[in-house]
Formats: sequence, C-alpha cells, structure tokens
Amino acid sequence: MATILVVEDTLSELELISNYLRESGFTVIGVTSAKEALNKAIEQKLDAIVTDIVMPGMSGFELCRKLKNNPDTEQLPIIICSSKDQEIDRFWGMKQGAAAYVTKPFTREELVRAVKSVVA
Amino acid sequence: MLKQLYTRPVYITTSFIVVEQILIGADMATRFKQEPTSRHKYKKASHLNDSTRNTPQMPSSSVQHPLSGLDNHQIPTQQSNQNSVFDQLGLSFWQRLSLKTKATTLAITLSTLPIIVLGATAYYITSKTITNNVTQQQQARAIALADQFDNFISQRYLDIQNLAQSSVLNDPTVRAVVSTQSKELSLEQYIKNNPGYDNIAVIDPAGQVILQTAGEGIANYSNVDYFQQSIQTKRPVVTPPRKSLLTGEYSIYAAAPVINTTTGEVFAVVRSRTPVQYFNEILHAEAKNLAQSGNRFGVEEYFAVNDLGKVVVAPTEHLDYIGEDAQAVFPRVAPRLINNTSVGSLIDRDRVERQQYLVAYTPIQQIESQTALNWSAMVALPTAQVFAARQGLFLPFFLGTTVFTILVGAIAAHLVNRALRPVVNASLAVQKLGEGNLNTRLSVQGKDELAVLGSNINVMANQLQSLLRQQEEVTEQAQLFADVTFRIRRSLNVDDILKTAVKEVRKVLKSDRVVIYQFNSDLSGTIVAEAVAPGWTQALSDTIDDPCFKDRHIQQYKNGRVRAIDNIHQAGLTDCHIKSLERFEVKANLVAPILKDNQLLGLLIAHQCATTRAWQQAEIDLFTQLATQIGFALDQAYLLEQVEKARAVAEEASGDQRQQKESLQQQLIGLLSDVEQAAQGNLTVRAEVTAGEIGTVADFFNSIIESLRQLATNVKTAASQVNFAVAENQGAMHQLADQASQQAEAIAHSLDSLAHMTDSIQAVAASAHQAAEVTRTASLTAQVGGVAMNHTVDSILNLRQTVATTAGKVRQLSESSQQISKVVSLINQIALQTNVLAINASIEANRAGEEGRGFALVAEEIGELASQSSAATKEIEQIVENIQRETVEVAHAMELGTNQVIEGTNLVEDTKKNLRKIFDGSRQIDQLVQSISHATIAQAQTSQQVTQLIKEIALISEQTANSARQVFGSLQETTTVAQQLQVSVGVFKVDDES
Repeated sequence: MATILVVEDTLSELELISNYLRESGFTVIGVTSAKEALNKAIEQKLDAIVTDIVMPGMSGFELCRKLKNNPDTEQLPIIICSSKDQEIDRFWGMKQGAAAYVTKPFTREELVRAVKSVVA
Repeated sequence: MLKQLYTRPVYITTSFIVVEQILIGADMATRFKQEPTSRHKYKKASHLNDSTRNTPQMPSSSVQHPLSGLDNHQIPTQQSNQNSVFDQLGLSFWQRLSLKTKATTLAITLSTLPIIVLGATAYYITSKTITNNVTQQQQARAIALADQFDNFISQRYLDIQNLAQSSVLNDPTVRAVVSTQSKELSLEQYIKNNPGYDNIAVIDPAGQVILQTAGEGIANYSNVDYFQQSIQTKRPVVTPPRKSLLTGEYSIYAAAPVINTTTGEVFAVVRSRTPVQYFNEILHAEAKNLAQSGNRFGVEEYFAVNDLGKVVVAPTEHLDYIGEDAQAVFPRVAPRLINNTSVGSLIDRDRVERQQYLVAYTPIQQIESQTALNWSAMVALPTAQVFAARQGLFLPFFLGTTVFTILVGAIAAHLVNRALRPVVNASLAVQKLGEGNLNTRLSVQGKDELAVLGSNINVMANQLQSLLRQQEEVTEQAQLFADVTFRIRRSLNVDDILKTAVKEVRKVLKSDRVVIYQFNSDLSGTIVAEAVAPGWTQALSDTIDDPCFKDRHIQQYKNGRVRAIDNIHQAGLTDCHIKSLERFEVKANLVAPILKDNQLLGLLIAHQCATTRAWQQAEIDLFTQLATQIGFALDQAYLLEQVEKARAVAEEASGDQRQQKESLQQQLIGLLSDVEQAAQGNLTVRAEVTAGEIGTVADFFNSIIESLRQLATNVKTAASQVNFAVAENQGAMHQLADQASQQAEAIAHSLDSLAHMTDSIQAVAASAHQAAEVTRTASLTAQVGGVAMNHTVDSILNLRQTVATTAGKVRQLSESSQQISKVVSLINQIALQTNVLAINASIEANRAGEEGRGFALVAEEIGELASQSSAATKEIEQIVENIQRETVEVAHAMELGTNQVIEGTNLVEDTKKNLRKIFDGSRQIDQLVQSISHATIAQAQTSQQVTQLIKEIALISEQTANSARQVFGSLQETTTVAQQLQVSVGVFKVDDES
C-alpha cells in the first residue's frame, strides 16, 4: 500500500485530506510544516507528497524545489493542493516540479484521482 | 397661394444668373454664390408643384437676351486664349482702351493719315525735283568748267604756235636785224598783251636759253621732256599742269619749235609758262560774278584733280587744297574720279572743312593738242546752300499739313464724340450700377438701339434693386436663424433645449403658439414644450392620439415633409383633424418634422390662433431649418446623456478596480519589505507566499534568491579554492622562474666555453695548416736534396774517371821525361865534341898564323856555345829530374784521391738513401697533418652548430623564464582577483542556519 505524506498547516484541512486518502486505502503521514515534511521525505520511504502552498515559513513551492534538488527525493511525485486557483499559480506549481495541481475546494474524487494518477 | 410663394424664388434665381453674367461684378457674384444651398432648395421646392415650373416668367425674355449676348462675348476671349501671348498682349491693350478712345483714335487716324501721306509725298517729290535741278545745274557747270579748262589749254597751244611763227624768231633775216634786247622787249610786250604767262623763253636746240622774259628760268633745257618732244615732233607741245621746279607753283608749259623759214630746220624752241593759279583766279572771279549776277545758290567752288588724284585747281578761299590728295578732301568723290568717263554728282563731306558739299564731277576731255589729261573737274557747293530752297520748302509743307491734320482730326474727334455720347452715358450708368449706386437711371430718347439699351439698363437696375432687397431679407433671416440656433444649442439639457426652442421660434415667427410634439412608442404623441401668447389655451402635456393623423402623415413627415396651412378650414383636412386643432383655437399652422437619423423624434408646430395666416416661403424655410437644428440639438443632448450614463458605470467599475489595485499594492509592499534586504546582499531572506495574487510572484522571487544563494555559495567556495591553489602555485612558479633564469645563465656560460673551444679548434686548425705547409716544404727540400745528391754522385764518378785519366797522363809524362833525359845526354855529347872540334880548329888557326886568326875567333865562339849548351843540358837534366820526382808524387796522390772518391761515392749513396727516407717520412707527415686539418675544420663547424643550438636553447630558456615570470604575474593578478572576488562574494549572506 502506497504511503502518502500530507503537508498542511491547517489542522482541519490536514484531517480532511488524510481521511479522504485513508478511506481510499493509502497510508497517510501528516505533518504541519514544510520543514518537517523535508525531514520525513528523507527519513522515510514515501510514494507521493500532497502539499499546501501557503504555509508559514517554507512554502509549498519551496518544498517542491528542495525535494527536486535533492537526488534522494527528486523522483518523488508531488501533488499540490491549494486554494490558489489562478492560472499563474498552477503554471508556477507545475514549473516547480509538481505532478498534479488540485485547487481547493476539492472533492474526494478529484483528490484521489490526482493521487492515483501519480502513484502508479 | 403656394404658387405665388414658389414662383418668386425661381425668378430670383434666374435673375441672379443674369445679374452675375451681365455685371460680372465680383462683389455681387461672391455674395450670391454664398447662397447655393438656398438656391437649390428653392429649385427643389419648385419641383413639388409641376404647374409652377411652366409658369411663364416676366423677365424671362429679357433674361435670354443677355445670356446669348454673353455667349457672343465669351467667344473672342476664348479665341484670344488660343492666340500667342504677344497677340494677347496687343489685344488686351486694345481692349483696355475705352470705346471712346478707340473710336476717336480710329477716326482721327483715318481722316488725318491721307493728309499726312499726301503732304509727305508732295514734299518728297518737290524736294526730289529741286535736288535733281540743282544737281543737273551743277553738272552742267562741271561740264562747262571742263570746257573752259580745255579752252584755256587750247589757248596756250595756239599762243605758243603763233609765237613760234612770229618773224622776229623764225625769220633769220629779221632775227639778224633785231637786237636781243628788242627781242626780249617784244616778248615782254607779248606777256603784257596776253595775260596769264609769267615767263617766256627761247631756247636753242642745245638747251641754252637765248632769250628770256623777266622771271627765272632754268639754265639748260636739254633734258626737259616738252623741249625734247617739240624738237623731235617739230610741233607745239602743251604739258599738263605740273609743279614748277623754280616757282613751286602748278604751271602749264607750252613749247613750240621755231623753224627757220628759209632752211626749214629747227633752230630754237620757244616755251611759255602759265601758272594754273591764273586760271584759277579767272574761274573763281567768274564764279563770283555768276553768284552775284543771279545764282541763288551762292559761290560755287571749282576744283580740278589731276591724273594722280591731286587737287590742282581750287577756289581762292581754299588755295591750301592745291597739291592735296583729293581723297583727303572729298573721300567719297575721289574714288569715282579714277577712270571716270561721265558726269556724276555726289554729296560728300569735306574732310578739311567738315561741311557737306554737293559735288558734281566730270572728266576733262581730250585736248586737241593730243595731250591726254585724265583729269577731272569738280564743282562743289555746300549742301546747306544748295538745298536751302528745299529746306525752305519743308516748313510750309510741314505747317500746312500739321494744321490741316489737326483741323480734320478735331472735326473727326468731335463727330465721334457726339455719336458715342449715349453709349458713354450708358456705360457710365452701368458703371455706377456696378459700384452699387442702384438709383442711377438713364434718360431715354428716340427709338434706336441705344435707346433700347438705355431702357434695358433701367429695367436691369430696377431688378437689381428688388433683388438686393430680397437678398437683404434673406441675410436678415439667416442672421435670425443663426441667433436662434445659437440660443437653442447653448444648453445641452433636453428640457432647456425644448423650452428655449419653442420660445425663440415663437418670437421669430410672431405666431400665437409654438409647441413641440413628441411621438411615443405607440405613435401617439405628447406636447413636451410650449410657448404660447397670453390669452390662448395651454396645450402642454396634452397627449394627442390622432388616428387619422397617424396613418396619413407620419410617413410623409419621416420623409422631411413640411406642411404649411394658411387656413385649416380650406386645406381639405379631415374633420377629426380640424376638431383636434380647434381645441387649441388654431386658425393656421405650420408643421415641420424633427428628425434624427431618419427617425421621427417629434414635430415642431407653430399655431396662429387669432387669424389665418399666409406663411411666407422664407418663414417656412426658416421654420424647417430650425426644426432640423432642434433635431441636432436633441440628438446631441441625448448623446450627452448616454455619455454621462456610461461615465457613471465606468466610475463604479473603476472603484472596484481601485480597491483591487490597493490590495495588490499592499501585497506588493509586503513582498518588497520581505525581499528588500536581498538588494543589500542578504540572500537568506524569504518572501512569504500568501494566498493573494502576488503570492506566487513572491515565490518566484524566492526561487531567484535561492538560485542566487546557491550561486553565491558556489562562487565563495570557488574563490577561496582559487585563492588557496594560487597561493600554493605561487611558490612553485617563483621557483620555476628562478630556475629558468639560472638555466639561462648556465647556458650563457656554456656558450662562452663553447666559444673558447671553437677558438682553440680554429687555432689548432691553423697550426695544422702551418705544419702541413712546413712538411710540404721539407718534403720539397728533400726532393731537391735527392736530385742534388744524384748530381754529386755523377760528379764523383766523373771525378774518378778524370783521376784515372790523369794517372795515365802522368805515367806518359814520366816516360816522356825519360826520353827527354836521353835527348839531353845526346845533346851533351854533341856539345863536348863541338868543344873539341873548336880547340882543334883554334890550334890549326894558330899554325896558319895571321890568316888563321879570324878562324881562330869563330872557333873560340863555337867553343863558348858548346860550353853554354852543355850547361843548359845540365839544367834540363835537373828539371827533368824534378819532373820525374813530382810525377811520382802526383801518381801517389792520384792513387790516394781515387780511394777518397770511392769512399765519397759510398757516402753519397748512403746520404741518398737517408734522404729518401726523410722524403717518405715527410709525405706521411703531410698526409697526417692534412687529415688533422680536415678533422679540425669539421670540428669547428660542429662546434659552431653546437653554439647555434645552445643559443637557441638559451633563447628558449629565456622565453621560458619570461613566461614563467608572466605566469607568476598572472598568478599574482589571479590572486588579487580571487581575493577581490572573495570580498565581493563576502557581501552575500548565504547561511541562515549558522
């Protein structure tokens, strides 16, 4: 079963995403900051990361760049899940190495489809 | 009613054309041309009613006339355009003249020209006749002069002939009787009786003067031509006038032979001299007499010109001309005199006097004395005198002609002036009309074309006046229209526009009520504005729904129809329409549509309530135009309303935009404050990625800063590495440079050593060369020694031979000496016997006594000789003994020499052998030395090459040293740069974590 790391500073959102994914049969690890996520990504074997963009400290974009610049984690697919819904946001996210971009508010299907599309 | 209204403008229009074309008054033309729209409108209006078009116009007949006249007038102008510019100028000048001037000029010209021509011709002919007369007269005088001259010469001829035949001279008996003195006296007497001669001489055939009158003569005439000629021909001779050698005057010489009456031979020549001056004086005295006795031309001047072109006869006033060239006096006449055979005349200018002369000339005929003269006679008179009569003629002719011309011209001018006065008056009147003085009228008399023209001008003036009045009215209305339009359009508010419109229109039309009727969407209408005179019903806000009106007229109004009803009861309106009008006490009305983009907005309506009203066309036009203007004003007002609305909407939208912009600005300020420090080199800053639009842009900055941070870190590391590496390399490089320098120095030393070596080698080579030379010399010497040795051996051998030969000879010598000893002893025996004999002889001579004494002496002598021979023989014996002894010694010596020669030969052989050995040795040495020399040269070359190589090596090593130094310098620069780089990069703050 695939392991997904969910990065979300809002706890309720973190809970919602985690639930959706667990219910779809993924193992979920939740963290509330990008820094934590970075450590976890190095420590543990992950299959994908679902991250928010707007977070205190390191943003989701920076997290993407850090992961892509690290040879250990550069293959790790990233799904951005953010309330930033402008075309520029999506474009920039994909540029930073995201495999999929889901805008909030999202449905369970949207999220799960996005995750499944990257976790083969 | 309508008909009347419409016809007038038509008439006006056509009249305008007439006016324009007749007057061509620029002022009027432009004024009328400013109204083309109104003119077209009138024309359009006239089309509405066909019957009006065909209505005959009062001035139309008079209209056609000027039009056709205009066409005729234009044709020459066009033709003149086709002509050349020159013609145009001439034509335009002629055209510019007034008719009166032209006519007067023509009349005067036509009447005076024949008189002038006649006068000029008469004068010319008379003058010509006079000239001819004078010329002929003068030519006759010239011929007479020639004749006179001829006569004069002939007279000389006859005189001299007579003189020669006088008995005093030719009769020898008389001559003998008459004394020389009385002869001379008779000659003097002759001169007195025949004036003209100044000298007469009688000359004998030898040329000596026999007789002579007073006056000089030359001593000997034998060489004078006329003298010779007269002797030869025995006939009288007259010379042409020639300059006297004695007096210097032109004189005529006549000579005749004096023939002896009894013998018939010539025994003298008589010769006379006549100065031409004499002839001259006679001639001119005669000429003066002639002038005084009735010649009206004054004193003629006579000239004669000889064959050389010199003047020989001249008037007494001009004696200085004599001897001059005719060319210098009369330059034009002179050439004609040459080879001239006929009489002629010419006017010439005297060069000396600078006066014009009429000159008649003729050749002087052959004189009977056979002398060919080839002379010319000339008669000259100053032209001023000759043609005095002609000039006297000119003034009466001129004055007569002038007076007559002026008289005729004045009459012609007066007549023309009278004939043209009506035309001029008409022209003046038209000019005044043209200047705007329209009250000008012509008084018309008679019924000719001029009278018709006058009356036509009067009619035209009338028309112009009425036209002008109408024009003024139109202008006034236009002004009114402009004013009203201005007031209406002053406001942009619809209500204001409507209110002002009705008020102003009512004021202009002076009608009782003016309303604006606006159509609703269902085509019913509302009165939205009203201006009404006090006392009449107010119709404002009244909605009028008129079905019959609606159906019938809306479309027409849409097409721009304007309806003027003078009386509603007589216009054939429907009852409902009349009723609805009567509600507002309407008696006459005027309706014009208010249109906008072919859409009917409403109607402008004017009501006359008090009475019916005949609407004037001008009023209708003004009304229509005002309605149009109201349409425009409304259109503009509506447009403005729409614009206002659009602006309000836009303002609302811009409020939202402003808010958005402000939020964006806030975000941007946040972003800027986040990344501000990056500008100072702090690359650890991070822009917050917010949820707003700028959030992503902030991350874009973050990514850039990250990249920069990475870059700065890398650069820092690299710089420090470079610094370290360079510091390490620096020592090595320094060493390298030093070593390279040392190497270069060492090489330089080697180079010096090598140079020394090369020098030594070269010295060795030189020495070897010298040795070779020496050896070669030695070898040569040995060779020479060998040869000498051979010679020596040969000499020794010869010597041996010689010695042997000598030994033989010595032996022979010894034998010979022994033979000599035998001979000597023999001789000694002989001497002894002789001595014995001599003693015997002396004894015998003693016995013989005296007779034997002589013999005794001889025998004594012989005895002495025999003793002497014996003594000599003893000496010879002694010498031979010595010779024999010495010969023995020589033989001994010979033997000894022979032995020594043999020894010497042996020694020489030994020496020769030794010399050969030396020669061989020296050759070997030579070969060795040569090989040494070759080897040394090769060595020297090699050493030179080595030197070259070492030099190159030195160069390279120097370059190496330089390069090493450069590298060292570069390394130092690199160090500096790396240090600077480190400093620069140090500005960037990269590690956050520390």
